[in-house]
Amino acid sequence: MLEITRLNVRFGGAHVLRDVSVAVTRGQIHGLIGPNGSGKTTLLNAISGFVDCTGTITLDGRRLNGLAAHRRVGKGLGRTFQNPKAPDDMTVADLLRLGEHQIRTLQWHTVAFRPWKAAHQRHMFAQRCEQALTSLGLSPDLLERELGTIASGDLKMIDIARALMVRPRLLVLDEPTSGMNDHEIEVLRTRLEWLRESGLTVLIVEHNVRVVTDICDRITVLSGGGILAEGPPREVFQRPDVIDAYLGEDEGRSPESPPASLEKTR
Amino acid sequence: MSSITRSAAYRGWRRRAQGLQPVRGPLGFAVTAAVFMVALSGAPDTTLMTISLACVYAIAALGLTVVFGLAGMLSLAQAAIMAVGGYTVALIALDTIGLLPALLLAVVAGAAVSGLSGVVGARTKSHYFALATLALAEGVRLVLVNESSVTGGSNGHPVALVSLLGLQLADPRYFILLAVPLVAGCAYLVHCLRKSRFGLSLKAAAADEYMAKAAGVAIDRSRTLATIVSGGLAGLAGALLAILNGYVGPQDFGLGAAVLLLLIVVFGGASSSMGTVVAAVVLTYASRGMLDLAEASGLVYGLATLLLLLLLPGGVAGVGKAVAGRLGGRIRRARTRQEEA
Repeated sequence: MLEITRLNVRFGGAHVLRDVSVAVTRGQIHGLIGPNGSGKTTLLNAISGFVDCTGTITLDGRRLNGLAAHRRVGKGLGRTFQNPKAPDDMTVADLLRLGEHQIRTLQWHTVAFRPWKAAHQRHMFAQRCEQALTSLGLSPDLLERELGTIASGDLKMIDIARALMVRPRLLVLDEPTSGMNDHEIEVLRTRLEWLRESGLTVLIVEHNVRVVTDICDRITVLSGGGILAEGPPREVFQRPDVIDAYLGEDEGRSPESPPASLEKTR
Repeated sequence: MSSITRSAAYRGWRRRAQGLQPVRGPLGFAVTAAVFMVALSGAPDTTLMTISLACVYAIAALGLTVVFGLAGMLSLAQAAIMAVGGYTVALIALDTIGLLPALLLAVVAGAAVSGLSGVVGARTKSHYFALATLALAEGVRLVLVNESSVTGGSNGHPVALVSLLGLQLADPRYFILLAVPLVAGCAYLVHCLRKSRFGLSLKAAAADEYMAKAAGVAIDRSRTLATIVSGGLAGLAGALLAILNGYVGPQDFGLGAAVLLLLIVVFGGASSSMGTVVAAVVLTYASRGMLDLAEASGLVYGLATLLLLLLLPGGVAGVGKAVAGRLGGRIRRARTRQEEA
C-alpha cells in the first residue's frame, strides 16, 4: 500500500530522518510512535510533500516523490493535523468543500448548459458532507456552524471528516486524540475500526499507548530519526530498548497522558 | 438533508431561499445601485465628483480585498496597477477603438502586470510579497516618470474625451451613470468569489497553508489567480479615473493612493463587499474634505484613521454583522419562545 524506502530528510545540517523504510499493508491501522523529536511528524510531512526528502515513497505502486502536495491528495492521500487551524468565520460546510474538485470536477459547460445536472451534483456533494460528519459521530447540524464556535475535540473530528471527503485510500492522522476527552477517544476508536472494515488504510501518529495497543495492527517505533523497532504493538512494547527510549525515560510520568511539553507544533 | 434534526419550517425556508439564489444576489446589488443613482440625481457637482472618485477607488479596493482581504497578501502595488490601466486608455486612440474595448484592454493590461506580482507572490511569504509589490510599484513609477517621450513624464498625458450614448463621461454627472453600475457589478463579482471554492481556498491558505494543501488546494495557482483578478479590477479603476480626469499623471497613483486603498479594505472589513464600497465613499469624502485643512490635513487624516481602526476593528462589515447578529439572536429567541408556548 504505502512503501517508504530509505527516506532521508535533512534540515540544513540536521539529519532528521536517516534511512527510514516503512511498509504499510492495505486495510491495516499502522501506528507510528516515538519520543518527542524522533521525526514522526517530519515523516508525515515528507509523505504529504511538505518537506524535501531523498528516497522513494510509493502509494499503491505510484511514486509520490516530486509531486506537489495537492496532487498527492488526488492520488489517494488524506491527512489531518495535530492542531488544525482554519479561519474562525469559515463554516464547517465550507471547510469540507475545499477539496471538492479532487473527487468531482464540475465543468463550466455543465453549469451553463445543464444546470439541473450541476444542481444534482451539488446536492450529492452536500449529502456526502453530512455522511462524513455522521460517520464520525457528529451531528450534521454542525455544517452551518462557524469553525470559531466549535470545541477543540469536535474540530479534530471535523479535520478527519475533511480528510475523508477526498475519498483517500490512505488516511494519515497526526495525533488525533490530543485535545479529545475520553468519550471522544472512544468514538474515534470505534469509527477507525469501522473505516478499517470498509477497506481504508490508516497511518497514525499517537502518544496514547492504550489507543495504540488497542487499535493498531502494527507499529513502528522511531527514535532519533531512525527506526528502533517494528511489529505488532504488544510485542514491541515488551522490548527493553523500546521501553527505555519511549516509555521509561521519565518514571514519574504516566505514558497515557504525556505532559504539555510533548505536544509540539508541526 | 437530515429530516430528524431540522424542523420542517426551517427546511422549507432554506429551500425557498435556495430557489431564489441565482436571482437574489444580483438583484440586491442592482437595486442598491439604482437607488443610489436616483438619490444622486439632484446632488451638487462637488458631491458628484467625490462620488465619482469614490466609485473609482471602490473598484480598485474591491480588487484589493481579493488579494489582501481574502488571501492575506499585503499588496502595495494596487495604485501602480491602476496607473497601468489609466495609461493604457491614455496611450491608445480611445476615440477610434471605442469605450468598451478600451476598458477591456485596461483590464487585461492590469491583470497581466498584477499577475507578474502573483508569480512572485505565490512563492514568497507575506512580508516578502509586500516588498515585491513595493518594488513593482516603484518600477512602474520610474517607467512613467522617465519614459517621457511615451508617457509624458511627470507632466502626465492627456486622455481623449469619450462619450457613452452621447453623454460626456468626463462630466461627473454622466460618469456616475457608468461607474455606479460598474461598482455594483464588481461588488457582486467579488461577493461571488468570496463564496466560491476559490475564495474559500484563499481564506484557508491564509489561515494555514499546510491544511489547505492537505485538503487538496493548489495554493500557488489560487494566489496567482487572486492577483490577476485583483489586477483586472485595478486596471478598470485606473481607466475610469483617466476618463474622469481627462488626464493621467504619476502623482495620482503614488504610495498615498496605495495606502488609501489599503485603508479602504481594512476599514470596510474583509468579509463584505458592501462594506468595502461604503468605506470607499466615507474615506474618499474624508480625504477630499481634508483638502480644505491644507497643512493640518495629514495629521487629522492620520488621527481619524487611527481612531477608526481602534473603534471599529472589524470595519463597516463588522458593525453590520454585529447588528445582524443581535437582530438574528432576537428573532431566534422569539421563535423558540413561540415553539415552546
